[in-house]
This record gives sequence, structure tokens and C-alpha cells, in this order.
Amino acid sequence: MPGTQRLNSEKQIENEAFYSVYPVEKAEGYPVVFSYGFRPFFLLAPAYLVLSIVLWSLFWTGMLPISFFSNPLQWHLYEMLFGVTSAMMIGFILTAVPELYEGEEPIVGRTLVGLVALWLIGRISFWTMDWLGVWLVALTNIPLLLWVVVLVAKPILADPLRRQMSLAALFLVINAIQTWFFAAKLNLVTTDPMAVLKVSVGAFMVLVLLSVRRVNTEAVNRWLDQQKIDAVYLARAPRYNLAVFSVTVFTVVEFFYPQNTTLGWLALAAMAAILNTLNDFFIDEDPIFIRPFIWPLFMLLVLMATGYGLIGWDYLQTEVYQLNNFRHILTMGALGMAYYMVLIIVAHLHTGRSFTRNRWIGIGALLLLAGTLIRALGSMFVPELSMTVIGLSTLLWTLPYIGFLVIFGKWLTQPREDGLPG
Amino acid sequence: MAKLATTENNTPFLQASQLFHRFGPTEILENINFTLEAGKVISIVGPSGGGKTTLLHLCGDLLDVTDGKVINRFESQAFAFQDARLLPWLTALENIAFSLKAKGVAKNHRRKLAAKMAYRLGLVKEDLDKFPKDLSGGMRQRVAFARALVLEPELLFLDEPFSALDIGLKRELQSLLIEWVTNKNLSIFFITHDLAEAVQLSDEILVLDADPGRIVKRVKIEKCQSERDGEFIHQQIRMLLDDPLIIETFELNFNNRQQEAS
Amino acid sequence: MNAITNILKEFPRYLWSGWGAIASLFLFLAVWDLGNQINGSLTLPSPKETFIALWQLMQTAQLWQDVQITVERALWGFLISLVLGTFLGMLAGNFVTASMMSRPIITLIMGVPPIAWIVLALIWFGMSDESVIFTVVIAAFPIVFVGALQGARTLEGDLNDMANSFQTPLWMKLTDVYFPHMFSYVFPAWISALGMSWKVVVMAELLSTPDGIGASLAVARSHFDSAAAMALVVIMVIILLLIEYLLLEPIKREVEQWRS
Repeated sequence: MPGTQRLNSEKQIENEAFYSVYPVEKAEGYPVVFSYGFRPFFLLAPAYLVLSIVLWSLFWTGMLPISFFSNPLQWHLYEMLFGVTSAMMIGFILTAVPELYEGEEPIVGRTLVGLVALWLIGRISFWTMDWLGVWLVALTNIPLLLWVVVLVAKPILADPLRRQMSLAALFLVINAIQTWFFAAKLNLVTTDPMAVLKVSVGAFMVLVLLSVRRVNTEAVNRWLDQQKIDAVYLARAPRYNLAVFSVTVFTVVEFFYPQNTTLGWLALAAMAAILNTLNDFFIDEDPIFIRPFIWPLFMLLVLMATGYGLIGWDYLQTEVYQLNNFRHILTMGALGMAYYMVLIIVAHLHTGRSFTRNRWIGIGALLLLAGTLIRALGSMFVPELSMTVIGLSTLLWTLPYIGFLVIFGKWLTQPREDGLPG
Repeated sequence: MAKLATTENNTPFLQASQLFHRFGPTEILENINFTLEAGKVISIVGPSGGGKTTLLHLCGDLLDVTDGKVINRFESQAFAFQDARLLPWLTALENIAFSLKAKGVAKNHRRKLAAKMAYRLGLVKEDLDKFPKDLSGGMRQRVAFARALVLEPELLFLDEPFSALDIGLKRELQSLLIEWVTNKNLSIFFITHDLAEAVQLSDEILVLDADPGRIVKRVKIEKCQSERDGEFIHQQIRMLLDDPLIIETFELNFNNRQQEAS
Repeated sequence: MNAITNILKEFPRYLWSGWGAIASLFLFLAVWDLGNQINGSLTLPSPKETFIALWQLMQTAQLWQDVQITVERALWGFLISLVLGTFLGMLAGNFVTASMMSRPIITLIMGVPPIAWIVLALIWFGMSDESVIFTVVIAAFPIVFVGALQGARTLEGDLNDMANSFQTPLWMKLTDVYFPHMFSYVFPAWISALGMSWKVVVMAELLSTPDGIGASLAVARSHFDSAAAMALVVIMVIILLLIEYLLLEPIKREVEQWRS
């Protein structure tokens, strides 16, 4: 059968630490939540996401007449993209690097507290941008990702195979786009800040593709082992590279030539290339992509493909103008599902647990899917109900993260299940 | 113990008498005479291009005898060749079962027998569904051996089948063959250029000189195959190599080639 | 048969693996669209214009008639080449003299460009189906012939010796040794011959018949209707791709698993 490889059945799967050394003395005296990079950030990111999106929906539907920000749409986009995702990115990379590189110490204790503090300052400063001024906000926001890249740069650069180079480079690209956004706000460049945010969506999609490739390889194989299915999931690089290439071309062309007719075909190419990555899942007679734990990972890519497919369709014909709604399939759907699954997977494995059969995981993914589809397609089918659409989709879409915090959040503040440090 | 060359009907044998063969103007074989009895092993050693394979083909009825006589009274025979000669479109298991299919053995039965023989020769379950392109050289040769042995033939023709194998596998197969010769009365007609192999397995070694191929020496080894140790084989080889005739057969040829090359 | 169920079982996965190809086709459409933006619709209609023209064409009975006529001609030519080429090729392959004799003749036939054969066919058969089918046969036959010839020439040898050494019955030798061997040579030749038939049939029609896709293409050219011309080209490509990737490729994958 294509793509099938046999595993050593005695391969050990239980009780993995996911790091080779742990700096016990550096973590001493700090609460458990600062004993590993993902812990504080994976608590803050979903909480902040829920808070911001609820506020935004209340504001947008007119239920909460606040005016704390002169450009609320930019606040919504920036905070949902950069605010939330930066916390996810930091938690992700700080957890991945010690796992991938032998001898690399996890970032814990004081440094971690510093990172969390800078992230919080960045959030507060953005909320208060009208008073603080753009310069000060830029200075508190831009250094965060740079600092993280510096912290993890050594092993990534020293790796002769340069396996994680693309991910690190993408962090810098996202940081550059962030800088560009502030430069646009300060009128240092002539670009419209909204156009920069649109570009950032492309960059975040590439980020999702690159991270999902890594997460899937680990999570799906672990699941296969746990289910005693004798097959290996391989996320094939060429397929992901084609998807990254298509998404990049679309994003760049959309920035330089907005409304150009080639965009339709380019978006469809991105759709097809993303659907092509799903071939990786067809490794067993059993359709593993409908199994619990696996289907949300599969659905994530389907959502991204659907988003680009609908965007392409929108560009190709003239009657429908739904680009912004369709773009929500990329952000709420693909990015949101990526947040959710990374939260769930990391909270399990890196607190010394096996995948559980918690029903909430699937329900949460379904709610997230429903919220996304209602937001993206609702106003096309029932334009007169747009307020209801936004309210309902917000409710459905935030529930999974609230559920995560309620059910799994405590794992992040408690020591590992298996008694190992970290 | 060994009976004389017998023409009794009940014990099978393979006999070549006054066998000549030519391809066009070239004489390949000249006056070959020998008898292989049941449960015995005859090796043909000699320089390459000396007509060894032609002799094997004549004896195995893959080539028509034009001058002389070959009498084969064995009920069943099988071949293992130097290259595995597997059918590339059949899986390892189907290749092994091919010989049984040719004998008309029913499908389920022959698959069972083939798998059993495959395991016996150290192949594992996963290998059986692979096509030859996915097997290593050693594994292909095992499959070829299994295809021959699964017939449990009375007479086995071997055309340098060990030359591509590593030492471990070679030993394994050789001891299997010795066991069958001793216990199952298997007869082997064995072609090799390796004196150690010949000494290890044979009851009689025929030295075949080239141009034209003719038997220049016959060496009988009385000691039972299973009792031949490294020491014994070493000593036998040295004895053979001390023989001026054998030196001539191999060295003369070596000199000739050197002259041709220069 | 086992092979057929295998093909059907693998078919959905096989289809899904096509997304990679579709992605690059979409990228190609984007480049085409760019070409349209540079050169204008008269020279190169945009993909969208082409697909709209194609859609309109597909509403007409004329198009389906033309497609049917062209497919019939191509298939007749292909089938004749297939039967003749396979049979004669195998026959010639069995005799050293015949294969020696046939090679220069095949080289000669293949050396004459198909366009020249069309002219000769027009002289011999006039504006007719026969002209088109003749040209298709003359272009596709040598491909099949050479494949069958090579298959037959390589039949004898080690594997045959092996089969003989086990006293394999003739029927089993045919089914287990000769047929798979021949098929592995002949099948790829059939596929290339089919592709060749499809290309040549349109070219022949363009010059020698009043109907068929080739003739419609000639009409579109004379009307300077570039969108219609592109639409016809797209139709031809789609038909070929459908046959190739939905029919032949899955069969090829199943029957040639053993190839490295």
C-alpha cells in the first residue's frame, strides 16, 4: 500500500519527558505554571482570545457602546492575529525546541516570567494605544518575538540539517510584518495598515501549515501507536511546500495587485495544494481521518482549503462579494482549530499524559467548526440576520476554548502526571 | 556402501556417456562420462567458460543432446541458478509456488507448502508479499532455492547458486542440502568454481578443463559430508592444489588469458 | 478478477492524489490569465472567457456530435493499430529475419511526418473518414508494432529456461511467463499510441474533413474566434486527460506494481 511503513512494535511510547535536560534549579521558587514554556502561554492565549472576541462581538453588535479605541476594526484584527497568536507561537516554540534538540534546556522560571510580562505589557499597551501613542506600543510589541527567536536560535542555527530553519525564519517574517504594521500606522510607509494585516493572514496560514506538519507527525503517530495500528504517518515535505508556495504567491499577488483576476486561480491553486496534503492521512485500510483526535487535524486543513477555495470563487465571479467573510474560514477555522488542537495535544503529552477519551475534545472541535461556518457563510445566506450570525458564531466559537480552560486548564498549573519535572 | 554404477531399475541415477557437444564450429564438450547415483553429490569444477553450464543444461534436458547419451532415471528434478531468475511480476510467495503450480498442485496447498519452505529458509512473513524488486539479492536467492526445494526433488541441479550470497546464508543452505542428501537421499549435480564448496558438498569432484570441455581428473571423497570440518576441507583443497593436473587446468588457462590480454 | 477490485478499492485515494496536479494546473491557469492581461483577449482569451465559451459550446448539439465523430475516428484508428501492431509485432519478433527486415520499414514510416501522410491520404482517399483513420493508423501502428516486437524478442532466455527446468506446461507458460512479459511491453506502447491517435486525429480532421473537432477548430480559426478555438483545445486536452488518468493510469498502477 502506498506510504505504509512498518513500525517496530516494541517502540516505547509511554512516559516521555520531551526534553533531555531540565534546569531544576532555575525553576525553583517559581509556581508550577512557570516550569515550562507552554504552561503560562497556553493558559493566557485562550483566555485572552475569549475575552477579546466577546468584547468585540458586543461592541460590533452595538450591545456594548464602548469607545476605547479609535480604530476598533484594526484592534480586533491585530489582537486576534498578533496578540493571541504570538502567545501560541511562543508556547509552541519554547516547547518544541527542547524536544527536538538533544541537550537544549527548556526556558523556565525567571526568563519565562519576563516573556509573559512583556506579552501582557504588549496587550495592555495596545488596548491603550490612543493614550500611549503608537511609538510606545510598537516598542513594547515588536521585541517580544525577536527575544523568543534569540532564545531558541542557537540549536536551530547549529543544526546541520536545518530542519527548523523555516519555522524560525517565519517567526522573523511575522515579526517583520508586525513591524511593518506599526510603520504603516506611524505613516513611515505608505501602506494601508489593513493591507498589512491581510498579508499577515497569509503568513499565519503558512505558520499553520509548517506547525501542523510537525504537530501531525507527532500526534498522529502517537495516536496510531496508542491504537496499536501498525502504520506510520509521514507528513511529506513536498506536499506542504507546494501548499506554502501557493499560499505565499496568492498573498503576495493579493497585496501588490488587489482585485487582479489571477487571484482567483491562485487561491484555487492554494486550495488544491492544501487538499493535496491530506493524502498523508491515507495510510491504512482504516480511514483514520474520521477517528477522534485525528479528524480535527484533518478538518483544519479542509477548512483552510475551503477558505481559499471560496476566496478563489469570489475573485472569479462578480456577483458575490464575501471576501472578508470567507477569510474568516482561514482565521477562525484553520488558525482557530490549530490553536485548539495544539492546546489539547500539548496539554496532554507535555504534562505526562496519554491521549484521553474526553468527549469534550470532539465536541469542542465541532462547535469551533460550526461557529466558523456560521460566521463565514451566515451573512451570505441570511444577510438580514448578520447581528445574530455574529453573536451565535462568537458563542459557538469561544466555547471550545472555555471548555479547554475549564477541563484541561488545571493541568497547566499542576505538576506533571508522571512526576517528572517540567 | 556405495554400489557400483547400476542399471537396476529401482534405484534412480543420472548417467552421461560419451557426451559431446558443439555450438557451430566450436567444440564445447568432449567425451564426458560420469554417473550420479541416488543420494550422492557430484561437483563439476573448472575455469569459467569451460562448458560447465552447457553440461548442466544437457543433463537437465534444457538443451537437446546431439552426440552421446544422457540417461536420467530420477523421478523429479529442480534447478537453482546463479541468478535467482524470479518472475518479476509475481510476489516472493507466488514465485516459490510457481514450481508447485507447474506440477499441478492446488492453489491453497501450494501456498501453504511455499510459505513453509520460505520460513524454513529464513524469509519472514512480510517478505512473502513483496515483489522481487523489493527484495535484496540474498533474499531473492533464498526464494529461488525455496522454489527448487519445495518440490522435494530427487535430483537437484545447482549452477553456482551460492556465489552471490554472504557466508552465513551460504553455510545455512549448504547444511540444509547436506541434511537432505543424508536423510532424504537427495542427489545433487553441482557446478562451481569454488573448490571449498565442492569439497564441502561432493562425493565426487570432476575437474573440467576448457577448450574443449573435458574431464581431466576425478576425485572421490569418502568421508561423510556432515563430518567434514574446516581442517578436513583445508587439507583436501591443499591436496587438490598440489596436483599438477589441476594446477595446469587452472594456471594454463590463467596464462592463456594473460597472453590474450596483452 | 482481483486486479479490478483492487483498482476500484484504490480509486478514491488515487483520485485524491490528483490534487497536487490540480494545484499546479491552477497555477498554470494563473499564468495563462497573466498572459491574457498582457496580450489581450484577441490573441489569448483569458481562462475564464475560454471556460465560458466552452460552457456555451457544451450547450450546443454540434459540439457533442463533433466530439463523437472525432472520438470514433480516433478509436477506430487506435484499435486497428492495436490489433495489427500487436499481432504483426509479435509475429515479427518470433523470427530474427522478420524483425531484421521490419526495422528499416518502421523507421521509414515513422520518419515521414504525419502531415505528409495526410496529403497522401487526401490523394488516395479524398476528404473522408478513411483519410483520417488511415493517418491515425500510420502514426500509431509503428509504436505498437515496436513494443510488441521488443516484447517478443526478449521472451526467450533465462526465464524461459527457468520455466522449462520445472517442466512448466505450455498453458501456464503462456499465462504466467509470456503474457505478463508481453503485456509489460505492449501496454505502455498502447498508451503512447492512444495519445498519438488523439493528437493526429485532430490534425487530420483540420485538413481533410468537414466535421469533427479538428474541422470546428478550422472554422474557429477562419472566424478569428480565439475563445472558441481555446475552448476546443481545452476540450481535447480534458478528454485526453480523462482517458489517461481515470482509465489507463489506475490500470497501469495495478498491473505494473512489480516494476521498479
